Amino acid sequence: MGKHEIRLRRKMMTSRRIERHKNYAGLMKQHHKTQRTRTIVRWVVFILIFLMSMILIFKSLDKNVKRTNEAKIESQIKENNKLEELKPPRIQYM
Amino acid sequence: MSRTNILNILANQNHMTDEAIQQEQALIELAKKDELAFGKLYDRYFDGIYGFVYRRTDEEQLAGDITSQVFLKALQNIKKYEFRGLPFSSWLYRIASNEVNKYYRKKNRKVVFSLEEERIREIIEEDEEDHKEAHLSLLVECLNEMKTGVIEVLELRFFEEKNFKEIAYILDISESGAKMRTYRALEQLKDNFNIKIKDNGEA
Repeated sequence: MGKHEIRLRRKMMTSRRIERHKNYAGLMKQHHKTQRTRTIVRWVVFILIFLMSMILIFKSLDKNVKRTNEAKIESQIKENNKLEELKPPRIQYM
Repeated sequence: MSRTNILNILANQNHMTDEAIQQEQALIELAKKDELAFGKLYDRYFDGIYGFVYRRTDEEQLAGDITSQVFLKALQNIKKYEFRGLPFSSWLYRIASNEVNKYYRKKNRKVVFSLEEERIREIIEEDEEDHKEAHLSLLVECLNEMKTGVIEVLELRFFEEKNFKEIAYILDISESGAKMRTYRALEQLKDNFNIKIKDNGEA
């Protein structure tokens, strides 16, 4: 036996029996429902992407601020050290 | 056990004229803008698609559900539809074929082809009135031994009366592949039946 099964049907499907399965109003209802769901999902994804990108931007800005602050402190320390070196040595009097 | 049969290939095929295709295109363009216009396409093709799905499932309710799914997908994607020189029904059949295959994959069930005896008798003219039942069961046996892909092509060719270009598009195979499958199937059938093909030039 193959992966399929052949069945023989005595009667042809009639239009009246097919008609019972027709439901255009139901189809439209389902279509609008899926459209609404799609729109909601799209908005949620958009908001999530927006929030993620904002977080990333804030983080990178924060890093930059920290880096500049550190650089400032380092340069201040260096300047202080230089000034220390330029000062004349202290003479101790007995 | 060899019997003489005459296979009516495309004896009464329902191909569309260029004018009909153009009219249909206008309707599709309208349906792209106004979804209410889709109703006309729904009414025109529901029976055909339902018949195709029912033949592939043999369950009325299931066929109804899958057909609704087909039209829902068509409605959702009609804006993406592009005319490729084939009738709009080919696009619907393609969606239907994919939906049926998806159902069988999901359920892991054996694929069913429910063929109408009446239609088989229309396709195959028998020269002997006797042994009809035996003949049919032999035919079913032969079809059961063939590959599923081959049965899909035969079904579209002889039951839906589609041409090879349409079959190729519906099953997403090449046109030569569709022809090859048909001829191979006919060769296999010739082992058990003495088939004479009433050709109209295309097959």
